[in-house]
Amino acid sequence: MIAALIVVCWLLVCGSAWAAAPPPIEVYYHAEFFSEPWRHAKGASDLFARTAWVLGADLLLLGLAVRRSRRR
Amino acid sequence: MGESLAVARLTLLELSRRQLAWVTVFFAVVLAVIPQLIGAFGMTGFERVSKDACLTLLGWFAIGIALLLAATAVPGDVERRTVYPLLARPMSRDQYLVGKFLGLAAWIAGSVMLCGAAIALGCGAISHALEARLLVGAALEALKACVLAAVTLLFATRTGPVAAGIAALAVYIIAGLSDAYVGFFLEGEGVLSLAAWLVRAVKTVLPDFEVFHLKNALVHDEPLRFGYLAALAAYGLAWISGCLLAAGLVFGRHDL
Repeated sequence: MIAALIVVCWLLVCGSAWAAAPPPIEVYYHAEFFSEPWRHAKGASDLFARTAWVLGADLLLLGLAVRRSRRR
Repeated sequence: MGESLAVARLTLLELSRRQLAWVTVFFAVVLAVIPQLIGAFGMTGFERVSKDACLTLLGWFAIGIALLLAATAVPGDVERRTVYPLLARPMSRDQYLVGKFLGLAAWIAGSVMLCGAAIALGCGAISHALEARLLVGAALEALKACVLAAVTLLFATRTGPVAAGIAALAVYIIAGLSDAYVGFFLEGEGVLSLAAWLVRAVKTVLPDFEVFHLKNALVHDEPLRFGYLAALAAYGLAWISGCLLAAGLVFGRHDL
């Protein structure tokens, strides 16, 4: 089930990258005092990179879980 | 899968018996009334203020409910010894954890969406328009709360409810530390501080909860791109699956 969830995540990442170009960072910009991290956080390319490494870690954990279940 | 769904159903039943729904209903009523109170000043632009205040409160509610429910879920079962007859059945610990999380996530998502609908209703009554976009904001708050619940569940498989709650809250606070704060407090002018570098490194490997906050975009009526929302969903689901896998590995080795 979790493996299926990981596959869905990959599909969502690829699908969203295909469906829409990353929104320009200026779209989410507001001249607020602490807007800098918020503006950066909304950068979609940053989000893709973050999702990609989390999914990589997921695959590693999935491998460990499969290895553990085979040992049993 | 069937076993996990059975545990999820049991979790939902247990939560409904704790009468937590009344807390949600009370909070939803408060959130529906706040726009009316702010709108009573009769000044233009106060719709944005009421949306901002309500979405901020919704975010806090989502964090609170996620921490409270997820921190007590597994330790509560172990303490009441209800986990033993469950695990004596042909069901793995992973299935138990997934079922537990599904039940929690359904409850959290239902509660947050109910409050989101109350906000949309309250704000819609002032602006005389359908505020459906606020439901998107509520859905993202629900997803953020589910990620936090998964993180809390990971801690709760090894520690008690208080320690799990505090650890998850610490993760939430550290992950949400603004770069401006880190730069201001930990870095001198032109000097690269080791502490600042360390905080930024830790932040990189923790889930970034800030990306789920589309409050400013919603309040200022900026367009929401479907691609970005899908990427957010993927990011949230990736963290949830990672936390559940890690929780399964930890719980599998834990001597009950």
